[in-house]
Amino acid sequence: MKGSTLSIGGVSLQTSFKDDCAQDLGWAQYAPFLSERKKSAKNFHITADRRLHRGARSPSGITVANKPSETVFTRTDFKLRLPLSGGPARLTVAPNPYSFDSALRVLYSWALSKNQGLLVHAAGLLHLGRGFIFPGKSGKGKSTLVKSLGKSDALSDELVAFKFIRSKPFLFSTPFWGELSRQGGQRRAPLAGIFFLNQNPKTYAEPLAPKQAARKLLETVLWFDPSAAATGKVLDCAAKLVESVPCFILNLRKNDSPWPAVEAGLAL
Amino acid sequence: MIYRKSRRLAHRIIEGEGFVIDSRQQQLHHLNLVGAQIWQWIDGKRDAAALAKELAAHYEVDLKTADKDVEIFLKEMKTQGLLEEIPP
Repeated sequence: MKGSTLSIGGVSLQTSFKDDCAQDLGWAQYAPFLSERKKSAKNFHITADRRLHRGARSPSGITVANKPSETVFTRTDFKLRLPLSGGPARLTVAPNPYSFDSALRVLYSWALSKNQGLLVHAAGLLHLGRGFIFPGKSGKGKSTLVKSLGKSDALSDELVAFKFIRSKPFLFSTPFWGELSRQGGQRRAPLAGIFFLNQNPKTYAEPLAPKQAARKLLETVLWFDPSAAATGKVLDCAAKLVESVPCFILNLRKNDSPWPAVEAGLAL
Repeated sequence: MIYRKSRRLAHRIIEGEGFVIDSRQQQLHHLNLVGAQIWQWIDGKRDAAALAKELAAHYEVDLKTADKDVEIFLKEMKTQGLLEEIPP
């Protein structure tokens, strides 16, 4: 067994792998998100099981079972057991990096929602020490935006984490990238604005009222636990977020820098 | 008939408008200001007539109009599976 603390979105897990399966799961690619043991880290036991889903067929959709003591997420290529109080989280997963990455996304979407945070389908960028998210479904231009600005200031082109810390929203990098290869390690910044991407012949930002922004944000939040309690937490967090930071539609012409429109929007 | 909100729903009011998520279908339902107001009055105790009375008083509309609006709203919510009838 060997282990390290995996920290994403300010949520830390003390990981341990059974039978040295870390290499099969592509663990090395999470190295920028590993740190020394933290007191707050929950234990996370990982086992690779070759009997789970193999072959070219896509894994099935995720099923969720809410039991009195744990929430269990199951897909043909993994089973993730998350205790509601105390005890370690346990993952049994097919021995490949894709299944492991999917399971981590599910785990962190769940863990963040329990900790006043969310995992959002968005490009995340740092600009002058501030964090900005550009949510959008596939094809809305998240990766194109990151590519055009260069990856050095990017937190992800696919999924970013945010979390309230002492009532202030912070944006975090994640190892969950989409079209582009992963870049950078743990970074965070105060969240300064949410700009929903919209490809347009002209570049400008349109302010959004919180209720409009909440609708759009909820379309891009990654969450899998359909229970009313878990969904309520996501709703609460999304509502608090859109009331905490200015929100806009960012109409963006291909290859334009977003920053002049972002700054103009913030100045409104 | 008295109605209650389905137990599988998560719902919040944001800026006066209603956000209702049906956890079974993972579908977001959006309620306008009036819909959100009626939604908040649905407490498993008030019947349609009581809801219409609240609406008439709150928005200063005549009871006939309020009755009709509540009837349409409740029908829509029932169709969407967001409300359950409480047997008398």
